[in-house]
Amino acid sequence: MELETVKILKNRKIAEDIYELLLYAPNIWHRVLPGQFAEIYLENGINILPRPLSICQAALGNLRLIYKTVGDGTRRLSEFREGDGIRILAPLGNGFPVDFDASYEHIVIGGGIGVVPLLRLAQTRRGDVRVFLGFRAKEQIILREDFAAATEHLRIATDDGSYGYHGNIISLVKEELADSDKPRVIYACGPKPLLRAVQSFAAKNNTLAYLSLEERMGCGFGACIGCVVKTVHGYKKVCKDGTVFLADEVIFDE
Amino acid sequence: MSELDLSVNIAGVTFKNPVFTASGTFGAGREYADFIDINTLGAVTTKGVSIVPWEGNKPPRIAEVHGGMLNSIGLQNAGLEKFIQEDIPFLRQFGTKIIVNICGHTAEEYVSVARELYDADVDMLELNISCPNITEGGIAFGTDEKALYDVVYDVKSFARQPLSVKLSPNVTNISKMAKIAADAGADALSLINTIVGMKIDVHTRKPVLNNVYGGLSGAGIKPVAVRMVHQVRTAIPYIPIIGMGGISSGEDAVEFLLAGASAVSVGTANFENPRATSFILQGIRDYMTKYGFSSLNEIKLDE
Repeated sequence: MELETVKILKNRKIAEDIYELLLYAPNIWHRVLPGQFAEIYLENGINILPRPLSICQAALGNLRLIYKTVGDGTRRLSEFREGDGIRILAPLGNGFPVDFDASYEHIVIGGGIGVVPLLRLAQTRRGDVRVFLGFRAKEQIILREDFAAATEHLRIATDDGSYGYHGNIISLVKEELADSDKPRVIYACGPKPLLRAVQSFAAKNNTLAYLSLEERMGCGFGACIGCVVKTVHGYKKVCKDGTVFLADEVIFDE
Repeated sequence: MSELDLSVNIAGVTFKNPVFTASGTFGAGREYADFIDINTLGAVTTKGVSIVPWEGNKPPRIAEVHGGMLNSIGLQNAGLEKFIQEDIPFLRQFGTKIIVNICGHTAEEYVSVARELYDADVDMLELNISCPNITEGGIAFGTDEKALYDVVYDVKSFARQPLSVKLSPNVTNISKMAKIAADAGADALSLINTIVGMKIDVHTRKPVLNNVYGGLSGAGIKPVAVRMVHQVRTAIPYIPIIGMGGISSGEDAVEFLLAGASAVSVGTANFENPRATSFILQGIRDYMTKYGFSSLNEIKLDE
């Protein structure tokens, strides 16, 4: 991981409350694994904690991050302009496992802003990659074209039916995933209810599944023990032991 | 120009410089070795260690507030055995002093940790009787006069290393608590721990922290910490003080030295900038050079 100030190439709105941040990071981009994240330091004396943002793509010296403005920190981040410097620490987190080859059927399931760390995974998986993405409504859909370029099997669901399948993404997964002769591995990221549904789906079908989790973070590199998740092995740090965990390990609270 | 002397002696231990890390923000240093040279630190104060592993509190444990943060980690740690096996040897690779922050639910637990560390290769103990995030122990000792005296006295009776007592700012009269700790045998005082605070998410109308209350740290608490260091220094002229609370620059550190601290600890600033300690140490050097000071004891408050 590197801690350095890099240049902003682009910081623009791509959907309601959603922004794309493109950084020139020649010392970092080539070390990024699918599913890893970056800490962004606002250095304004007010938002003292770095913002953990998912890395969507890393190519040709650049990092592409996508974030949602949810509070005053991310709102201030959205005010940074092209050419500004910004301090980042990356790559962080363990990322998704990359050892499963083409003998597996790769199932990628994402919800809302949680689709971001899955793009690079979809792009780098060889063989059979099927991607299922869920959003609240058509206006919230992001990265549709990027995912479409990465796989022939892209299915999108919206809660209100304004685009694609009408309803819950897990219902669509259940309808579409017929029996396969290949072993299957699921990679998922999204809101907690989605991850919980993936966990129980995977358990029922004896499928290997990896979940990328989110929790309020302090440092981002394992020192403060702020961002923990309950697992069968006790509390684990989301930033350092994760963000990707085996679905079987995670204990979601009621 | 002559060489600056940044060394400082606290309770018989000589530290190469006055910049320490504050407990709970630095683990046992491992996570920071990628950012800074641990050798350059005066001391590493470890994350609180208890006699057996502690699970800590349910998340969310972290909430950012304007210029600072709240935490309610609850002293999650892997316990003393693992600490002795793994963390002490790790830290001993570096030319820095080791201050072990010790915690317990009961006076007996604090004593057990100190006893088990009797033969350990560490330089100082810091008694954590001020953590606001655990239900038994912690702050209960730091805010009750009798309990404070007894726990300091008991731990001091069994400890080999000098003992610094980390006091809670959540009291009406800090000087009184400081005197009690000193009377009970404290060799030094660490001032201050976090201030109890709360944040509510107005959109969900729920407390942000699962624990409801947490410890406030960061720049906003610095004036409170400076005031308490000054009050304690005035009340007990002889006791060494390790000052902490919202330090993020060399000038912040100097402010504590002027208030009467012998050394400072850097906490929350490590999250804002993982290289904060080196930045602060350089800032102290710059200050000394600017005003022609050659050693730390020349930095005195003009009252």
